[in-house]
Amino acid sequence: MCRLHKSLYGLKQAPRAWYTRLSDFLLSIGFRASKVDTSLFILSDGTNIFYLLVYLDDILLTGSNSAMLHHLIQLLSSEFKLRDLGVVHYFLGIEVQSTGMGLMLCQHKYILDILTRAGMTSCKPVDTPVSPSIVILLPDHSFSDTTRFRQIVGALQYLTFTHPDICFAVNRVCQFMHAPTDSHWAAVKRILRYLKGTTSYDFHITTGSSFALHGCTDVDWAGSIDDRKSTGGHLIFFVRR
Amino acid sequence: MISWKSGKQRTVARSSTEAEYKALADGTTEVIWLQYLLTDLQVPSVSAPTIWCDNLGATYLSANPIFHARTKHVEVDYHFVSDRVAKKEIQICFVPSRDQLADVFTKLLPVASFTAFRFKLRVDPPLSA
Repeated sequence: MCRLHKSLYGLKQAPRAWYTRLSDFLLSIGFRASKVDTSLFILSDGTNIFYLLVYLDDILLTGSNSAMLHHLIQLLSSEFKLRDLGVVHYFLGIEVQSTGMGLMLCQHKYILDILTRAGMTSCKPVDTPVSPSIVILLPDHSFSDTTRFRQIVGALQYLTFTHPDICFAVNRVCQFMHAPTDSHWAAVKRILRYLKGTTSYDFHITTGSSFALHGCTDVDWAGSIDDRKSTGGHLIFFVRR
Repeated sequence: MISWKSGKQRTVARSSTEAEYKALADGTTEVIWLQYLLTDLQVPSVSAPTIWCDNLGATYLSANPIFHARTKHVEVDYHFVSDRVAKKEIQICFVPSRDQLADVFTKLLPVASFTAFRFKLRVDPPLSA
């Protein structure tokens, strides 16, 4: 039996060891860890404020003072080997583009990947992600390739970050991950056909000066045919009053 | 828009008011978390957040939790909504169903209204097109 002096890449404990090392360094240069989001670190000196968001070794850093921001990057690179990619345009598979009004997020490449994996690159596009004619709850023939179903639906779940319009449709097929049937697969294909027509659509986040939180909640009472449970949804805006 | 969710509720609701009230509770938890996050980010908060709901019964229930035959069975934890309303941390307002934005997360919609909702969610075709 050997005892390791430091963590190795690929070990079960590696992410944790990395996080501890990174957060210890960040805390030592004055950042404080956010209480509500463990991957967020905040540095403020009264006049300026900096945010640092970590996802393993992908890091986003932003702040109110560009000279100090540069200094922070220098500090980080003195401790870790890093590559400064400049202004963000790709983070965790999401393409980011800055417009004059705010940010534009999209996952064009990701959608094309899913379509290729499902063999639906040349399907006929449709206007909505849910078909009124596919009743997906009646028990029928179980779908033969459950692994494929789960892979595609799992991939679609990650897509709801920039496609809130398919959120309901994806959630509906997700409820049958354990035992998909042919009709569920038909519903998945319907979503893919919808995506085929909206591949190039972007999700916009706009900026403003003073803000307030607004929420909307709604339910479809007893909407589920087999157990009469309701489907609920909410959305929250952070908007100009 | 910064946060959204669609999901099936865990328990069966005996009335639409009960179902709406549960959805309100879910929305409220998310709003409260976002408020904590904003405080952490040192963004000055302007006023108590507003949550819009298209069911009058649920709106009244959050302002004044009267327990009569139709609502007294609602699980206790959902009443934290009225607790927050009483503390003036959030406000619940009524919005007619036709102006309800969350519709697109709960039901199947015809093409015209789906497209209108998608526009409001700010999912748009590229500008050059």
